[in-house]
Amino acid sequence: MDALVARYASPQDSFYDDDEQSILDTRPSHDHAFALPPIAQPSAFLRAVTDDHKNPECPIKLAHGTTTLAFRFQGGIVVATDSRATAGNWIASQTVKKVIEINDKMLGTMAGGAADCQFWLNYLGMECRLHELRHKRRITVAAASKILANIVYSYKGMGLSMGTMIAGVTAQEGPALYYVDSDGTRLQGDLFCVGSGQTFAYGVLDREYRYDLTTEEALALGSRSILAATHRDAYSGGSINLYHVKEEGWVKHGFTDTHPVFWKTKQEKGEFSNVTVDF
Amino acid sequence: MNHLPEAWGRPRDDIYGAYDHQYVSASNPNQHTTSPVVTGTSVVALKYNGGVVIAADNLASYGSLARFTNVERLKQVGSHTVVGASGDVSDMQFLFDEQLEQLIISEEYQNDGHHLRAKHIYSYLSRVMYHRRSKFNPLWNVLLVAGWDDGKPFLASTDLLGTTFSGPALASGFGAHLAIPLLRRVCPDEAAVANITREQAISVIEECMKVLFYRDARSMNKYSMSIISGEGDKVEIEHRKDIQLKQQSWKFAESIRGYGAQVV
Amino acid sequence: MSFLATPSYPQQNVPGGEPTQRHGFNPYADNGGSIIGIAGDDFLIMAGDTRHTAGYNINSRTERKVYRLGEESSLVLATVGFGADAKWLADTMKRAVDVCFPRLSMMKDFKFQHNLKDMTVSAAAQFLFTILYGNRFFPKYAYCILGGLDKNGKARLFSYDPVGSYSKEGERRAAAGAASSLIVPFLDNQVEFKNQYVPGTQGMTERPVEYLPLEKVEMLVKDAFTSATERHIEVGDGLQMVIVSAQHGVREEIIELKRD
Repeated sequence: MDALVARYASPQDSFYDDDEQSILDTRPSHDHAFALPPIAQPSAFLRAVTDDHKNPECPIKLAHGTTTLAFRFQGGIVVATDSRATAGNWIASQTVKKVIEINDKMLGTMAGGAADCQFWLNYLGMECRLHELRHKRRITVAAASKILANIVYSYKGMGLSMGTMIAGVTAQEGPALYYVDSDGTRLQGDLFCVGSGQTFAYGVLDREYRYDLTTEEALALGSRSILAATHRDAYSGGSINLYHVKEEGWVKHGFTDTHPVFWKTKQEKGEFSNVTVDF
Repeated sequence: MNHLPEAWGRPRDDIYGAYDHQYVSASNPNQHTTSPVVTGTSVVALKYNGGVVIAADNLASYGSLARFTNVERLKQVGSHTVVGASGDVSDMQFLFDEQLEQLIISEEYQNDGHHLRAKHIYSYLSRVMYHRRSKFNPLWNVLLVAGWDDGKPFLASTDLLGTTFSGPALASGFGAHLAIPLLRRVCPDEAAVANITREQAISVIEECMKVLFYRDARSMNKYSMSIISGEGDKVEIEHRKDIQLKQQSWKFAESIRGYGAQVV
Repeated sequence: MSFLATPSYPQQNVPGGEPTQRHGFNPYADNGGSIIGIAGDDFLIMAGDTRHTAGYNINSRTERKVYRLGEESSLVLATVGFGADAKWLADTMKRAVDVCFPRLSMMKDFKFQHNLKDMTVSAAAQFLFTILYGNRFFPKYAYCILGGLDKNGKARLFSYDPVGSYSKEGERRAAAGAASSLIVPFLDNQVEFKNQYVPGTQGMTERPVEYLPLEKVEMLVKDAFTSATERHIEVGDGLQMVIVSAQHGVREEIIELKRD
């Protein structure tokens, strides 16, 4: 009888039902409520549908593939990246901005999942601003990179993919450079190359790198290392995105198509002599 | 995360385990929790210049066994709509007898002179289907929603994934392969609906049911048909039950090896 | 910061909780089709074919993929991929941009939260990123292109991957879906003037990029789709074009494509 009454009774008498009331009660929160597939192994599911290396037929192909580098020298930090995004063998874009401007003093680089890097570095920018407001001084690069490392570590095993470098110059630290990846690794260092083309960039960079490089030499070296990687790594290419980070903030040094740079380097400096023009 | 250049940024097997193809394969026959058991085959429907004709046979199969032969797979929902279901019969019964029944009771409780029309029922059903697929617990059906809406015939489809689409002639299951060509011959596009009469529509649907019976091994020769006809705001729904297939001709079978009696 | 806590994995059969489901069910499908967007100086065209497929079957010849996000708004969203996810995204964006049920969705509504102002294109772009990334671990299988006019009447165009990555600077052209690999190289050449050089310079001077007039863009869109229809089985039937212009408002056009 009760069941019968319940079935035919008016469902709601109050002006707002529970759902509406909960909306009215909602305050902005920093809680990230990510949707998860309701299965035992969400990460295995995510991998199955997105891992284009293990299964080229996987339905969702995310943007991947990169060469990024950053190194410390006496004049600050040089940050350089290519600009290609690939989904399987498809070049999804040749004009990706892989240097993310966290704020006007700090840069992050983007390798791995494009959306992961964009979202979490954007979030890091917000945290850095909150730090400034709370403590009335700029956050150190060490602290900023640790916030990011803690976040991605809390998502370890869930399938995030990012390899990023955080670069900034602060009064306390001088030029500071950290590598953070989605495994939760956080390393301080003078020089990093990250991405599928990292080995090629390391080869060129290690050969010429010195801490007392002039600014011009440092920028040229960053650019040349990316050029080498775009030449040898099929998943890297497009343009060379070049930045110089100083204590006053970062300065952009162009977004240059690799094609003319390659031929200029070959003709004027005689490099890439393995490439012949007569077929 | 894999740092080797050829698989840079991808998950590592030693962390995530071996890549599991199971998730991306269409279906896995050994897992009964998410596969249909007792099933109904095609539903076919066609718009005409004064409404919609929809039909489905009365068979519920258990694998290849023709298990139940008196199952109604068309349901009138409210005063404007008929829903036809193919796929899992228990999921169909849950939708028809629990969900849609309660939906109409709740709506009519208001007694405000408003009634749920076809597109409302369709919107509700497609959201239920999408919700269930998102919970990895799909209702294993393809649903055709036919009705009279806003002075026009309405016909649309939703399935176990929550995919939605509409058209002047729709068919689910085997019907998508066998009946659609017959339906599109008389009704290639929305404009053609204006030239199709009620009688024509009924006879095309009858023809489709016959052709489906010829070739669909999970079909039977008894079916139900609903004819939704409207004029302005007025809607009339006629249900025809226990229709027997008429004028069958199995002559075509004789020439097909393995179908009729073979001499050689 | 609550998110710093270890994310909670749904455990199998938690007492009192909902039982977790067995897998072996593929929650995605590919419903074919393609979309493109091209931005001019003060106008943009968003277009998509109207074929809806499942494998080799054509489900419908009249399903639209381009959605206006509000009757008063210049925002237009085109989505392609898995039809149900694409529709969910379009509905979610519409609900955020437009005032549908002022009482019911009062607090959800951007307009009511922001002093009845329309959502700007850049805000909508960031919002869509947030929505897509919110489903990072159970992605919506849909590629999105979002376009609209900014407050100065300039066209903005953004394109996304399934988990939300996009360029804040926007782009001049974008294409996604089944035939994107056919359409993108065409647009690279015809909109970005890639591999076009100024005549008489022996391929030394690149042709400078410039905004195209509306008539030219409309022709490019039609050419892109008639060509894709010739060479891709999942593209055809109809071409839906939404033309957003600072001077003439928003208009929609549907043109026949080949139906074979």
